[in-house]
Amino acid sequence: MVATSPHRRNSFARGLSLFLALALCAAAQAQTWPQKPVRMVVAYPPSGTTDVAGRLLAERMSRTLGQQVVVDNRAGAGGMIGALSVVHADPDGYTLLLAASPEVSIAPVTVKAMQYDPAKDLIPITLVGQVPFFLVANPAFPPNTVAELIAYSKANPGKINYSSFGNNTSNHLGGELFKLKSGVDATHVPYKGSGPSIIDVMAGQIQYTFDAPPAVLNQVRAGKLKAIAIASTKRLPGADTVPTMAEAGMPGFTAGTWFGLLAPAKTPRAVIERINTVAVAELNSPELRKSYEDRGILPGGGSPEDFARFIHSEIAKWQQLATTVGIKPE
Amino acid sequence: MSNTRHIYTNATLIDSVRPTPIPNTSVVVENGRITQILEGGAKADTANAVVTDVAGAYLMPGLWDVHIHPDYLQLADVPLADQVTLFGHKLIAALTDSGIVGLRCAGAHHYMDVAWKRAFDTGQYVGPHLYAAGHFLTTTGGHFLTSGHALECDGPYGFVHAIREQMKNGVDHIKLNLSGGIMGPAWDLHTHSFLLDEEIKAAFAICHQREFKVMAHATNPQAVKAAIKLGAHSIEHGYILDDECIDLFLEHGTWYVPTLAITHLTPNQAQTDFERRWVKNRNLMQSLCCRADAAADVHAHWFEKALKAGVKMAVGSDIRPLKEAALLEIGLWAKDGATPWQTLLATTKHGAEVCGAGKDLGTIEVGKIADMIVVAGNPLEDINNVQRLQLVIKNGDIITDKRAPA
Repeated sequence: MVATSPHRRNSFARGLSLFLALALCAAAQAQTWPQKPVRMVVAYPPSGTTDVAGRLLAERMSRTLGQQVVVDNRAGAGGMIGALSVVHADPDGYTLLLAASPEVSIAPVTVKAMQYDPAKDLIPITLVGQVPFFLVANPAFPPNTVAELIAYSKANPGKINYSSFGNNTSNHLGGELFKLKSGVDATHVPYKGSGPSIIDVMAGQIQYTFDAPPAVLNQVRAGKLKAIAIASTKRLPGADTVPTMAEAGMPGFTAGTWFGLLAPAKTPRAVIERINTVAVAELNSPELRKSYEDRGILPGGGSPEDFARFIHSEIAKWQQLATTVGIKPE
Repeated sequence: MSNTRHIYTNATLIDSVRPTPIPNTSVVVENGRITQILEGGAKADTANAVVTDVAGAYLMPGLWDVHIHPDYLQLADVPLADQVTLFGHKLIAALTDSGIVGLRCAGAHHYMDVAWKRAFDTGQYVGPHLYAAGHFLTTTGGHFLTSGHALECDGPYGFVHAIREQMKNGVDHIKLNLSGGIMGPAWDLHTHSFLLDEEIKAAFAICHQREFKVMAHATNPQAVKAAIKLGAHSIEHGYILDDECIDLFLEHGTWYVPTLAITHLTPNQAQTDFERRWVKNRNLMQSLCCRADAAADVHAHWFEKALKAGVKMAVGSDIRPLKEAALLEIGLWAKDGATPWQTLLATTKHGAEVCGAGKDLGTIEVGKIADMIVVAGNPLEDINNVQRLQLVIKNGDIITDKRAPA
């Protein structure tokens, strides 16, 4: 038996009291959250897919919580301005980040001087949704399937261009991953955003690209683009004639973007759990699921730990790709 | 901001400074701002410039509408995300289809005006200059609750709290509704004031302390006088005024935004094809048309009296769609006795000044931002010629070209 001095026993008691007080305080905070409007930072401009996903969720959370969840668009620097504003916010549950993949899982691989570390400065709450990319091509481009694209590439080396939103963006990395896994030989042509990239695919200057459903589905329906495959594990409701990459012969190949809720580091665990419960319940509601699916967004959900693992795996995926194909942080 | 050097030659300049057109003028724009105005056929150095010959058409400042709202849609019918997208689309259309370069919001839910203001200001979208209000503030059982854009507040601290909340979310000014209106249920009357004295005083006190301008919805003399005396920046609507109101406007230099469209655009009053088509599409309830008709003559009377007295006035429509709203309101100013020059100033120079942007916008002068339009007819002969749009120029760049192909 180890003897303890009265002084050490008092210190222990004081420490235990402090711990219990903090734990009780956090639990009480979670029970009463929210007592005022909650700010949901979207690091992109209004009306884009991230904004739409955020506002659909915020509207429903506002109704459930009886407090407005206000979407605050803080766009710029590929999402990093908005993310940084949340990193610097009070960790009290009243400022959340509706993040997309660039500022959380791509920037750590592609940006040389990041001003925050997503793994240390932000706490995952839940995955909100995923937007798989379609592999789309100019209608006059001969291949109609992934297998035909691979064969065409072998027969016509150096004659295929593919486009992206810009260097080191989600569809650039997805495009490089596709080249790596399929062996397709294609030259990357970066654009400034989805709009100009799609326009040049439709015009035939670019043979194929990867892009999100809202950007391409209407063009596919109008016959101005053809959809070769969808880079997700499931076919997309509303576009279910398009095969998945696995069905097209590339099992395991997924690419796209995703959205998730995160909070500043040091936000009490009990508050994180409360937000997770509310958000996941909304994501499971038939109404929100339909709203998301109508817009080409696959609803998310899951625990904070699930989301943390997901982010970790995404960063690892891009890190491995960057190393393999030589993408340098800029 | 465009880095291109632009020269607009052979223009008939209407600069909103002088009340006459200046023929054969060239305007030079560099880095988005006007650097030279060459009159009397003087030639600009065209080296490294994009030259646009406007062929004698009328080059004037872009238009302003300083009282707007997003559409009145219910969240149950149209999800928030879609409402936000729609509002942005309509703001952009106002700029590109009608040359409305500046708009001041008078109430919008979920801070969608703040979101678009930021998106435009940072160049993420090409859009007009937008000044955001957030919600408009009224009392429980207050004005136009069905619009979706109202926030009901009660008691002095209720108003203070709501105003601080608007400020925190990035608004430019506070929209305070002191009275009822034309468009509402039977208990929402424009002849009634809604706020208690202590509520009004508290609301103005917090705005004054934080240096936020108050855009005051005031529809009867009692509300107008209270707002002006407490330091309102602008009075919106002013359907009923009295001589003391006019004196107070002049004494305090308060702006008056009459929003004639609210009382004047009914089936009984519509006169032009444009007005009749708009009225038909609007399909306003008969009871509200009656209220508007009943208020129109008094409104027109005080509008004219304020104009003649020299009250500072600006064009604000309070109707939708935004690309047609200001054009309709401009026509009503002419109908109610405003000269083309008075109306032109009200929808250009004064619009920018109400929004606190008079140093940079609202006239065509050296140093100002080149947000301009070109119209085919002389607006100083008939102000409705602003509808004959040929070009919309933003930061010196042509963003709309409606001229017939050569």
